[in-house]
Amino acid sequence: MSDRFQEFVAESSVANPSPDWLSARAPAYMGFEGNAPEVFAGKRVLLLAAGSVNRPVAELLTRLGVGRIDIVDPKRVKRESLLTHQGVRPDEIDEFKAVAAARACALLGTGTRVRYFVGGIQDLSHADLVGTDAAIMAPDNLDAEFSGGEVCQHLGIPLIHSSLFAEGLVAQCRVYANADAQSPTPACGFTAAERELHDGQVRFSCEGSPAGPATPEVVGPATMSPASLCSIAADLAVTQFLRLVLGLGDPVGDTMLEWCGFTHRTRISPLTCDGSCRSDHARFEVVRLPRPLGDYSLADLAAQTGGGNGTIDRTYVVGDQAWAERGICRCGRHQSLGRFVHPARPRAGQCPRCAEPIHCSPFFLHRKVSQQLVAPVRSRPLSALAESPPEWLLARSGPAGTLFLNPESTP
Amino acid sequence: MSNTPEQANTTWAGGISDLSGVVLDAHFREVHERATRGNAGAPTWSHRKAAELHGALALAQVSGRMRIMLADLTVSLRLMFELRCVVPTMPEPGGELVIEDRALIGLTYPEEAIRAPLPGCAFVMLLRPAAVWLPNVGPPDPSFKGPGPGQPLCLGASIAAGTPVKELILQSYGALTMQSVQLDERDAAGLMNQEAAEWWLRTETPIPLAREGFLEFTPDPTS
Repeated sequence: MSDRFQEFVAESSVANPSPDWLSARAPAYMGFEGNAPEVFAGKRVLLLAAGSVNRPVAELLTRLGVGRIDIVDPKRVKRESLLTHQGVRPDEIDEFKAVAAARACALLGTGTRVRYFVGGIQDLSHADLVGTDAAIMAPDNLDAEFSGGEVCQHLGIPLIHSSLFAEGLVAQCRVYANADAQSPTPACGFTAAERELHDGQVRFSCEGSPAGPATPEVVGPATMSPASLCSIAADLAVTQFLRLVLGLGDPVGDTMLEWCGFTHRTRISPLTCDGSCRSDHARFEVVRLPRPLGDYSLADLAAQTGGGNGTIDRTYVVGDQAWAERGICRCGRHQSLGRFVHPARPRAGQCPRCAEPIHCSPFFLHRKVSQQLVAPVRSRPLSALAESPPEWLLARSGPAGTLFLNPESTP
Repeated sequence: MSNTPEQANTTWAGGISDLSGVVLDAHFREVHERATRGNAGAPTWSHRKAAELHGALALAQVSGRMRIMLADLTVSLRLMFELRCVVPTMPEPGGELVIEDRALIGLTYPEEAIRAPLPGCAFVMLLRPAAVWLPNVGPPDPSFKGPGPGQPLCLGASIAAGTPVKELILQSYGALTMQSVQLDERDAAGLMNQEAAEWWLRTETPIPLAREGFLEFTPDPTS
């Protein structure tokens, strides 16, 4: 599968980090018998945002010797970032935050693999995040909280969410265990005002997009906080990460930790979901196939999920392609199609009358296609149905789903 | 128009703000039941689809303005309907404006619409007539002489989560009749055809194209 992340490779002045060196300052944590640096080295952590909280988180994780960090952020460093983002330097102004953070981490030379993606979590698919052991997010908008929370629950990725209330000197750290589909997500805690704010923060421009997807622009408030409070939030997030992966003390999953600088008190509260939230509570099983996905038919894949023809609400999403149900040709002839095409260029086959390409109407393009609609072709291999080899396929039935991936080595 | 507020078995008080009291007649009830048989998905979503479809069918029934051609609840809620209203078209590029009296609309309401805000162009496709000429309708494909794959209609910069289907239909009516219009070519919100926006700014054709409300419709007995 084509990797959306780019790896940052830097020439560090610290060459060849050895396990002994990485363990040189590792304490013997109470209640933990194993080799903590070894545990960290085996972890892949996703960072949603690289701003005032997560920029220091990225560096702290790198200093821990985490095996890989993937940094996702669409924004650029601004001059004001110097006031709130610990670690950011003047020469990083106007650079993408994800790139700047990746560079800073790579230069530490701890051997942590550092990858970055310039964009939002909304721009990534579930398949892009498979293999992540934990996620830490500190975005400045509710849509990223919403989307990040959903995808982490779908894939069973424990999620640490840091936030601030700077006026009250409060730092909060929520840990979502994502043990199952009933686990709480960030959206479960949205108040009515936050739901309304969520609606208001997302704007789309339809300019120049006659039939393609509109580009979302998420407008969130600037972080108004002293850098010190942002650092405290980052430190709390990494501490909770430590406790999560090493199993230190009481379980931190599905709890919210709050620290208040006015009172110097901390409070721990449980996180719950009352079922009335907007979140798509679901859990996907990830299956890496032994052969290319295109070799399989939908019937083959349904058999692997334990479902046959009988599951009325089964749906399929095939990579970034959509099911073209019907189309029209320039000679005016309507055609039934029945194949997967790329929505940005919805053409499928040739008109038997005029030999021109058949254009699929967006109304008859199904990003998520029902079992009933594909029933006539469910025994045909996907390679015969898809415009290009599918990179992944999500089969869902209610809150359960299976994400099928190509073998590891498939490009 | 059936199911007036005066009918004994309805709790509908009139108007379009709340159609939940409208009792569907035999025709629309059959449309609803047929669609509901294939209604799939999580209980919350399937119930919502059924309720939204009821709202749309109630709107069709009380207004007489909509003829339902397709109602599908399998995955998303999908409606294809003929809407009787004025529709401005420009069949020949640079030519004369031609006003049609109906549009064939494909409306898709995905599950994401109840969870998160979506772009205003995510819901409505104008399938007929060809060459609809409005600032918030995607430009026609010039390679198609007649109706092509459809033109998207943009209802604004962002549609709030949970906006009812009935509301989307009413907004579509407002957009097609230009009772609500976006003409500022400097504002990308809802603007899909810059050339059309500039044309409408220059034209002497009076706006809106129709002033009648959605329920103020008298069908032509000959059509």
